[in-house]
Amino acid sequence: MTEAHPFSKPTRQSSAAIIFILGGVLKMLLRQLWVVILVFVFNRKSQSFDGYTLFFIGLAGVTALMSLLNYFNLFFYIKNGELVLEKGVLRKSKINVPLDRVQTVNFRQNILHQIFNVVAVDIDTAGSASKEFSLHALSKPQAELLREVLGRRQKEVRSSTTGSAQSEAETQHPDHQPTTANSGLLFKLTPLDLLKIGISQNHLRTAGILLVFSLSFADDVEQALGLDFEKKMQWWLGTTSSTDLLWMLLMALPFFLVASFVVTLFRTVLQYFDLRFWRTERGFKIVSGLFTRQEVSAVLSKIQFVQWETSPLLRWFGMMKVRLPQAASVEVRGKLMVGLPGCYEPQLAAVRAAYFPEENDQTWEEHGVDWFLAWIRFLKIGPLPALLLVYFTWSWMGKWALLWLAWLALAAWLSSRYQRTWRWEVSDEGLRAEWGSLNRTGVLLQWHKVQAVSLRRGFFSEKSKLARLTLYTAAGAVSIPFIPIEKAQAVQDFVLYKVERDKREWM
Amino acid sequence: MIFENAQVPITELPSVEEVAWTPLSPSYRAVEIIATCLLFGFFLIGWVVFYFINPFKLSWLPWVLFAVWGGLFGLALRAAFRRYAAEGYALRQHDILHKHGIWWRTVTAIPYNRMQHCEISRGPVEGAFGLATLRVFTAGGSSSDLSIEGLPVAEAQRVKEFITKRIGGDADEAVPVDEI
Repeated sequence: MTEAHPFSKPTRQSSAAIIFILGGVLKMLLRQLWVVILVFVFNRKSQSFDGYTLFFIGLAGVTALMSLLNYFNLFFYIKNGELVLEKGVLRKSKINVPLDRVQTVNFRQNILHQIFNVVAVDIDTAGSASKEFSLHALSKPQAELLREVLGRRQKEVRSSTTGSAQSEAETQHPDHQPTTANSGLLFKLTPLDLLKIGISQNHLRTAGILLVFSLSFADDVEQALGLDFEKKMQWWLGTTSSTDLLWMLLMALPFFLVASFVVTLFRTVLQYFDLRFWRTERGFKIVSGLFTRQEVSAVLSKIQFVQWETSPLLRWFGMMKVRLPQAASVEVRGKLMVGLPGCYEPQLAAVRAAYFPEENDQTWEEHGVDWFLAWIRFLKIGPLPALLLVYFTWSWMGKWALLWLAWLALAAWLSSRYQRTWRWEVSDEGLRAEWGSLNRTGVLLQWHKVQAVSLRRGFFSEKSKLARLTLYTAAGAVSIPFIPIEKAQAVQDFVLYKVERDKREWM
Repeated sequence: MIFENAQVPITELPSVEEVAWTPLSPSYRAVEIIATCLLFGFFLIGWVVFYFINPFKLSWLPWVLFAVWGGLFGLALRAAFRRYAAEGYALRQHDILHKHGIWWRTVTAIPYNRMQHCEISRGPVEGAFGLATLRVFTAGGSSSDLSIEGLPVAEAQRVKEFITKRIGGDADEAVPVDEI
């Protein structure tokens, strides 16, 4: 094994990292102390050079010093098949990660990174312990080299443990990147696509976040500055009655919703601007973002299943969301979720073909789920919400509150539709399923990615001989509810048989 | 022939349903019952305190609560017995099976070639009864990991050794199931 790369010796980050460390420390301090600072700025009695100012200058000095020490004490290197990170000033720490545990190497670049021409590097390591590895800033070529070296050394470590032969070309020409016929740009989000995605996002969620945020912000500011917003508002609106204020607030609701719509749209643009979806030699790569260009990649062999989602609006636009859940430790699963916020049928087809090339050559056997699911679902979403709505609105709606009972009809329709449209298909090599009454979710899974199979019978389904079958993968589970017990057992036996015989790697 | 790929009739696949389950140690039932009694003993202390303070000044209330306590205690004891009867595991040539639960009866199967590692742990109460817990970890995360409580220590160790050998090697070359 050769150690002919710059990372065999302890290496520091790019000096631009100091700025990012400083930024991190500052952000942390601001988050803790912003109320104090607000009070300080607004409630200052005198403009003189007092103890507080000294305190802040001291704080800034300490921050800068800490950042510098942090920077000079952080080294990383590759030694004996392990990636090592040494850091810490007072409390030293050393993290060793075996190279074959390195899952993915991702780059992040925000506007500051772009100015200094550096990237932040996040290295995900499989394993239950959260040993996350990230570097604030490396020059772009250095980062590329690190990714390259990690990939190469990983292959060496793997081949030396499995004893398989390594092709000469791969080890001798690390800089040569062979491109397969199908690699290249698959998809680019146009501004119109971006608009469609923005429109079809969940605006209610943004509204919720906005509401909670503004309320807690108002509360914080009220406490910090000793203001009473309600009084101020009443005075400002020229009214003193609380009921009138309530009506005002109700009328403000549409504006609030418009605001959340705009915020969601804005967030979508920030996050997904100029999204490019690439097919790479090893899998897929997505680069997106307006100010912060984020690059995430999914290695094909680590993708456990393909998942797509549509909402009525997205379907109207002919679009779908696609996710590629990858094998990763639970802590970083969310962060590493590689997905397209919106794409069209051909992109999904490309992803499916890459993940499961034989999908269309298989004979698929279609099944549904028992009508009992409709009942259970109706009981969950129907009676209780309807009764609560009637109860809470009775005082001011009177008899009209009974109109809420119409919800029962809607719930019944939704539940029955949910059950009728639940579809799952099995073939020799895998499973595909699709479900949902309004928002629909689809899944494509290969049997050899399955880690464990469980079969659950509940007290409800005991008499009706039904069971829930769950297939666990290294990136989440797929569950089929309310299917006849014999069918569930047959699938369980079959999947175990396939998994136990299949010698293919699941990652 | 280098590669065989004969069709396997579904009905001839080894069935999870037909497996002979190994029950847990009878001492585990004792542990469960003692734990239930301890828990309800604490509730009883709470009840005695409530009886003497009687904050709501209602003479019948403590007795209603006592009846509720008694009923729940009975149910919990019955559940402890049934939980023991419902739990079991089975080692097959290529996977381990575990069944548990009375309300939700779950059977989980993990193939040896998907296991990451397995370990034995012993709590103080378990230790006093010579019991141990066997845990099997997969890459599927905590929801698919398997944990079999209430195994006799020696048995747990044998099972662990058996599994560890299977994780590393080819299932066909490893120890036959009936040797453990």
